[in-house]
Order: sequence, then structure tokens, then C-alpha cells
Amino acid sequence: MAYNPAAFNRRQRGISGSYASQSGVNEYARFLAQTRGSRNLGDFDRQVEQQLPSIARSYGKRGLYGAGVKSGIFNKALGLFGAEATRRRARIEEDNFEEQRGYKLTEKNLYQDYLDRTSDNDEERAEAIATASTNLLALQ
Amino acid sequence: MAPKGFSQYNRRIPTRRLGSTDTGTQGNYLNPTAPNYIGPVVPQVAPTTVAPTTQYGRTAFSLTGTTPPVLGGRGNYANAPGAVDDINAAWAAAAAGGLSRPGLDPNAIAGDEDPPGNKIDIGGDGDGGASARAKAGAFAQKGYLDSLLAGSSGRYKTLRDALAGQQTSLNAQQETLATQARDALAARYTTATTDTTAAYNDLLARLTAQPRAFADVPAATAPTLSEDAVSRYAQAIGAPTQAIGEAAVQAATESAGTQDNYNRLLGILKANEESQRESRLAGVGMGSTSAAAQLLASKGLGIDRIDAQKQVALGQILAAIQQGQFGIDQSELGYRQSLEAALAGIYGTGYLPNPFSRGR
Repeated sequence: MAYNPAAFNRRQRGISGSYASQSGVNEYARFLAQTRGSRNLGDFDRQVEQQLPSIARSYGKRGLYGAGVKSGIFNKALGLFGAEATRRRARIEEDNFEEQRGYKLTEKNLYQDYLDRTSDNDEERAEAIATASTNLLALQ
Repeated sequence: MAPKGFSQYNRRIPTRRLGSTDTGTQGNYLNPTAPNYIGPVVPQVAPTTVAPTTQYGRTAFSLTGTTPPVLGGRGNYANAPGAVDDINAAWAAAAAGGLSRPGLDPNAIAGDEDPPGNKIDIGGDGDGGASARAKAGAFAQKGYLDSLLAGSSGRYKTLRDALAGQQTSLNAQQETLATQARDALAARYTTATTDTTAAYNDLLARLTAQPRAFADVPAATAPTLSEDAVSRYAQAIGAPTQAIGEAAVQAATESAGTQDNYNRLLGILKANEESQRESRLAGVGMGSTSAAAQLLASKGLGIDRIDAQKQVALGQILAAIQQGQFGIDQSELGYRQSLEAALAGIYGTGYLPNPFSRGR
């Protein structure tokens, strides 16, 4: 059988098209995730900022916090709140990072799949040329 | 030139089977007088009638050389001097009588009415020379046939030489065809090798230059905790930040575990990619070597096939030439047999001495 470059070129176009399509979808999803993550983080920060004055007011009503007053109880409560908020915020950030890494990994996997399929196609192209050459030589 | 009436072609080849004695239906090859004779045609000279020389109403025969004496006559001739019945006595009487032409009586020849005696012995065979001519013809035929026999080898040598020439020409033609086929095969081998080598070289270049998917993926690092709102507010209101700092460290520790897993995953993916790349590069080398070996083997097969075809063709040529040679041999044998049969026919006429008789 003779070597037909059109078949391999057609297959390569299919590989490239498939990669471009999947990669585009993944990139769009990553962008949405990034936006969502940033929004979640911003929402969290706003919630914390909104909660802090109410904490101070509640301790102030009990005379544990106010002008010239800084009780150890208030400081401890404020520290616990801050630590919890810090942990939660770190988790949100970590989730965002991981989600972004996931999309990047997906993109790399798609790219590697594209490279693999391209290499397969190239290998089969070389083998087809070798086979066609052998067949040509076998013709008498 | 062959004698008139004879040709090597105007007889049939005896079709009698070897060993058969049946000559009635298959043709008689030996007896020229048989009705089914198929041997060479021996010219038969018809007996000629000698016109009588008539002089004075008598019949005489042409005489040549020494005139023999006259033998016992009748009438006046019987009284001629010296007329006797005995030839010796006649010669003696003639000589005693002083005749210049003993035995011949001029009177008897020149006008005596009585016919001469019938005992006159004249030269010849009595059939007007037909036998002599037949004999001479037989000798001539024999000589001609002998010359044909002697020349048969030369005649067929021409055919054999032509056949040998044809064989040489056909063999050379086959050699030329085989050489052309080998050259074409070598050209195809060169093309095939060039194409295959180019294909694998291109593949190698592509794989070598191919980017690696995970090569540029950065490793995960500890997220830098931003100065969040709590810290800012705590600092603003003068709250202690120790607990917040401890929580941040704890969160970073947890994150470090995740990063470490991620980085390990990245390492595995990179290694896998590199392994695949090495495998592909090695596959290119093996594929190229295998293809080259296959091409070489195919070339060898092609050469073997060409040689085999040439040998088959040469064998067919040889068989055809041998068949032709056999045909020539057969033809020559038949030709010689026909000549020999014709000779045998001539011997059969009795005009020639039998070459196979002992002591003769």
C-alpha cells in the first residue's frame, strides 16, 4: 500500500482540533474558578470585617473592652476569632490554589495527550513510509 | 545435378515399423519392380530401336572396329571362299585367301540377296545400350548420393550453428534483462532507503524538539498569606496577634502537605513524560534499524527472485535449444537414412557391385 500523507495530515488536524477544543473549555473553566475563588475570598474578608465591630461591641457592653479598657478576655477572644478566620481564609486560598492547579494539570494532561497523539501519528507516518518503501522495493 | 527422373524428395519415407516384414501395405523399399516400391527412382531407359541400315534389300548392323569373319551363310554366300561355320577356321581361311578384310565378303554385304547368317556376333548387349546407360546412371546416382551423404554434416552444421547463435543471443538477452531488473531494483532500494531514512530522521527531529508538557509546570509553593483583615484589624485595635500567627503557621503546614503531594504528583508526571520520550526516541532508532534491515532483506529477496527467473528462462531456452538440436539430429538422421535407402535401391538394381559381398 502506498504512503498517503493526506490521511496523516487529516488525523493531525483532528488531534490539534480536539486539543484546542478541550484546552479552551478547560481554560474557560479555570478562569471561572479563579473568579469564583477570588469572589469567595473577598466575601470572606468582608464577613470578617463586618463581624469584628460586633465582637468589640459585645465585649464593650460587658465592660471588657472600651476606651482605655483592654481586658485579657477580650484579647483572647479576639485572638481565637482571628486564628479561626486565618485558618478558614487559608483554606479558601488553598482551595483556590488547588483548583487552579487542577485546571493547570488538566491543561498539561491535555497537552501531553496532544503531544503523545502527535508523536503516535508521526511514528505511524514514518512506519507507513518505511512500509511503502518496502512494498515499492518488493514490486517486481 | 541430379539425374533426371531422380530426386531425393520424390520418394516416401518408409513407414513400415521396425522389424515388420509386411511390405505389402507399408511400401517396398528394396524391390524397384514391386508395385508398392517406395525406394529411389532409378531412371529406366527405354529400349531404343536401332533403325536398320538397308542396303540392297538386306539388313545389316553397324559394325565398328575389326570386322569379324563371316560365318556359315547360305546361297551364294555359302559358296564364298572360306565360308565356314567355325570362327577360327573362318579367320584362318580369310588369312590364307589374302583378303584384306577377312570374313567379310564385299559381295555379300553389297548386294547378295541372301541375308547373312544369324550367327553374326556384334558388339553391345543386345538392348540398344539401355543397360549400359542404366548402369552409368546408377553409378552417377551413387556418386551423387555419396556426395550428398558426405555433405550432409555441413548442411546441418549450418542449422546447428544458427541454433547455437540463437542460444547465445537469447542467453545474452536474459542476462541483459536480469541486469536491467537488478539495476531497477537497486534504484528502488536507494529510493526506499532514502525515503525511510528521511522519514525516521524527521520523526527523530520532531520528538527531540518536541516540548514537554510538564516541563514548565511550576512546583507548588507555600501560599503567602495575605495580610488579612483580621490581622489588620487586630493590629489596629492593638489586639495580640500571637494566636493568629500560630493559626497561620498551622494553615501553612497543612498547605505544605498538599503542596508536597502536588509536587510529588508533578514529579511522577514529569518522569512519566520523560520515560515516554526516551521510549519513543529508542523506538525511532529501532524502527529505523528494523526498516533498513527489512529493506535490505527485501532487496536480497528481489535479487534472488531475479536470479531464479533468469535461471528458469535460461533453462527454458536450453530446453528449447535442445529440442531444436534433437529435431535437427532427427532430420539429419532421416535425411541420411533416405540417402542410404536410395543407395540401397541402386545397389538393388544390380548395376553396382554389392559393397557388402565378401571377397568381391
